[in-house]
Amino acid sequence: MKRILILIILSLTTVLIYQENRRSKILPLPTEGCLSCHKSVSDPDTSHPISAFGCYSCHMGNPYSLDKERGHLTMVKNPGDLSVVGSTCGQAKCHPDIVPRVKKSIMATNRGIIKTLEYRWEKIENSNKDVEYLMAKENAGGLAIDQYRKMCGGCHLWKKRGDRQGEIGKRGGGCSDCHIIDKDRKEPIDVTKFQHPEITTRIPSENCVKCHNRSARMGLSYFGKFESEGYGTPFDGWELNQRRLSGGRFYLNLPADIHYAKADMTCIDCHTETGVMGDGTRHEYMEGQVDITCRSCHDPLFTSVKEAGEAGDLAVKLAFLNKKIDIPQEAKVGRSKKGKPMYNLQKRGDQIVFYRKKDGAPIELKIFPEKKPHHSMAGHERLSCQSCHSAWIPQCYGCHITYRKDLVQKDWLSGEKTPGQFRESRSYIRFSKPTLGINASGMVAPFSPCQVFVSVFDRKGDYVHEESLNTLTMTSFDPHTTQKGSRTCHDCHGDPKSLGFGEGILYKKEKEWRFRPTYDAQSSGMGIDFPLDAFVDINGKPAQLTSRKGARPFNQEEIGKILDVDGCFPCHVRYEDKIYEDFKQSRRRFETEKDLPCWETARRYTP
Amino acid sequence: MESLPLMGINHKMSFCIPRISLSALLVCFISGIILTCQYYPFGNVFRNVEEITTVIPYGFFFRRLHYASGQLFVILMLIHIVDHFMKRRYKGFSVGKWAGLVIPLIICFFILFTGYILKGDKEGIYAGNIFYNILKEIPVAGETITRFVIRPGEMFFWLPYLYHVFFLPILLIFLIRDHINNWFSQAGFLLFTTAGLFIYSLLVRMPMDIPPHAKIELVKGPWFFLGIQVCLGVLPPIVAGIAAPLIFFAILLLLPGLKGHLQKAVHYGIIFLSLFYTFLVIFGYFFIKHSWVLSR
Repeated sequence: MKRILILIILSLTTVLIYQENRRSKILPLPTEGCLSCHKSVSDPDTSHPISAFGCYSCHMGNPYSLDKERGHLTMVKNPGDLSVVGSTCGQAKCHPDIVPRVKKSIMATNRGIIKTLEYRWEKIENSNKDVEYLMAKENAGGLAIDQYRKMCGGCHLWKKRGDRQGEIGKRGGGCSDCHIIDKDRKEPIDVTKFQHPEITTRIPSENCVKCHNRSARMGLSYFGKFESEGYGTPFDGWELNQRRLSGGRFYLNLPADIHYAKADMTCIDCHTETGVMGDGTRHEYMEGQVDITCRSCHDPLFTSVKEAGEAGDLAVKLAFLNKKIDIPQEAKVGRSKKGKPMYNLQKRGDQIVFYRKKDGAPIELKIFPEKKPHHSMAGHERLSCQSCHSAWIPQCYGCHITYRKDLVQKDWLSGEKTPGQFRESRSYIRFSKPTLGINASGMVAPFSPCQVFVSVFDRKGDYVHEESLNTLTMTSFDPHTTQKGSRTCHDCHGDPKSLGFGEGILYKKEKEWRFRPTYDAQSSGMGIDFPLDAFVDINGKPAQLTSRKGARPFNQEEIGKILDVDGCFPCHVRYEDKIYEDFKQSRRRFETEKDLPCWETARRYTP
Repeated sequence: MESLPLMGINHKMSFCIPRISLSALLVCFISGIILTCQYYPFGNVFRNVEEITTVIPYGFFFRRLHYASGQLFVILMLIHIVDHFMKRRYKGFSVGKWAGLVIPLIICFFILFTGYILKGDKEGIYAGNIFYNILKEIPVAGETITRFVIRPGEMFFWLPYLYHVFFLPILLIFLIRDHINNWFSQAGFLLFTTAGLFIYSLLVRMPMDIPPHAKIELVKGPWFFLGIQVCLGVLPPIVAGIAAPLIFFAILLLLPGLKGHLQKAVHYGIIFLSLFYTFLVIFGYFFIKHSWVLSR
């Protein structure tokens, strides 16, 4: 027996020696065990060469092991993921100042969406919830939060990247959401030799549009795409056309934003790193975080790189990371709304140059001609640039949501299927003649409808009227459809849609303005007494709510003033016309001096 | 005992277990000596351990062998004591002789625990920190005792290393010297155990070592410590980590000295507590989902 056991032990020792000799010996050892297998991997970018950083710095895992299983233990595929980013991109020697900002940024918190939903659906005024909070507390909130979890919650920086196929799988992933250039791989990866996904600060617009193609649809509008009705027209032969967005949605080609159409500018040419990654404040809404206005470029303030201290250093650093734009020490750079350096807007001597971030190409810049009459005329002080220069705005009327308690749906935050299923459909979408109103900043700006009709069905499938709701809201945002030319005077002063009354006929009868709407709300059975496209009635009574405190339609006095001007346009159509220098005085003269030529014209055209 | 129990001469558990156990101890010592030549308890210990495991020739095998033999020795020793306890053999023992059985078990657990720390991975470092913090909770002498057992900083692995490699093994051999003299004479047991451990070490991987900087939600202690880990979540460290284990082992040690109904009651009390602790270990192994204990 002992001999047998000795024989077994000797056999096992032989196996051990054979096994050990079969193991590949890597001498001298690479700086990291990872590189013993991943011998030839391309650099993610020139700032993160693998020869200097290795793999562990970003992907963690076990850098000392030569064993695949041990080496990959606790490795993270996506270092940008916000759940690990403090140990990867945000570690002390790398980008510790940026990561906390990103976590507080609106793309990570989604505070605006959550706050608006809770406010509009459940009248909760001071909601402070954000994505991180909702991920930690699965049962926090009512119907609005459930809607967020199952519909909107698939689009934020905390979302795991690659958790699904297609566009939705490309969303999320923290830093990687923007800084990785997506390339669909068809071939299986050879572990010893493969292309590492490319990291960039020259963020391609595709990375923005993969998320920003719903709701306000700015990412579509900027490139001249209007998400149309689902008819698929115009047909391609006998087939529906192929102009499709994600989710099978159709689109029409409309005039793209001039910044794209004329200068081929991408999203990041305007949107600064502070505006996108945040400034360290947990803003309530996106507009609080955005760090750019039209004036930042078209009426720029410059600061010297040499004398700007930290701002100058940051400008140089950002330009260095961009690798396409050069900043000479003697140059001056533009400053954003919050005073941050815009390294791509430079003043060299007397010359102002805007550089495109994707390729460093210089672009001729039109400086805001403030002294021109159309920009300086009295009465237009409160006009935002968008109110005149936005050619169109996507307008979604009547978004229908059904909520069925007898079904389940995936919660984007927990990844689990939970009771309650939402389904969205809509009534109609328009693009023309943006309605105007007063935004939360007190400026005249375009508004677009966000109208939600929620029908709740219980576990038996019966409609529950008490729990159902509708919120008809008008929202102001930059449509991103800027054109060089503006609306005409009459487009604003005489068009009922622009004024907020909706589509219809505006006319005067017995010296009173009257409006006959095209949309017959009562006959449509919507349960509302105003047209779906009406923001305000002709007496200045608001018809719909707004999504921001302080935002509102024109009031009666403003409507009166706007309409008053419209009667003068047949003759006084030029901005520099003297009657607009003091319109009150001109108006008084018109009412008191009956021998003015205006009266003859008025008599000729008034029935 | 002249031949192997599996060959049919003597199959009694009480007979085989101590002999296999001592054979495992010998394998453990030899593999430990080999590993000691490569182990360096300063600097980046995790890297050192990883090099032993994946770079140094046969390192993986000797680590597995050391781990498996050490675990086997302690488990069999535990079974051996349970065997004695359930058969009430302590009745014929003096407290001193009974202590000669129980104290080596305690030492064995400390050897396993220090070995767990010496892995230098995240679990080892957490275990060391918990041990350090528990010891500091000892009233009056806590700080002083801690200085002789484990210290933070560069010396973190040094004292556990000394205990694991020198002090505790020497003490263990001293305490079980009679057992070694009496039972460690059959080569058959040694060959049988060695063959079994060789097969195990060639085929079964060790539990993975978690890199110290890994971001993971859950860190668990060694299996025998899980019950204490569970208790640390709900009880003060001085109670869960010091008082409760001390009281348990004190009662166990004094058992032969008790008489009549009291001894009977304590006997069943120990069974109950042991079962309860086993339940805590199983609960800790399967149901702790977050490292809540460690984040206290």
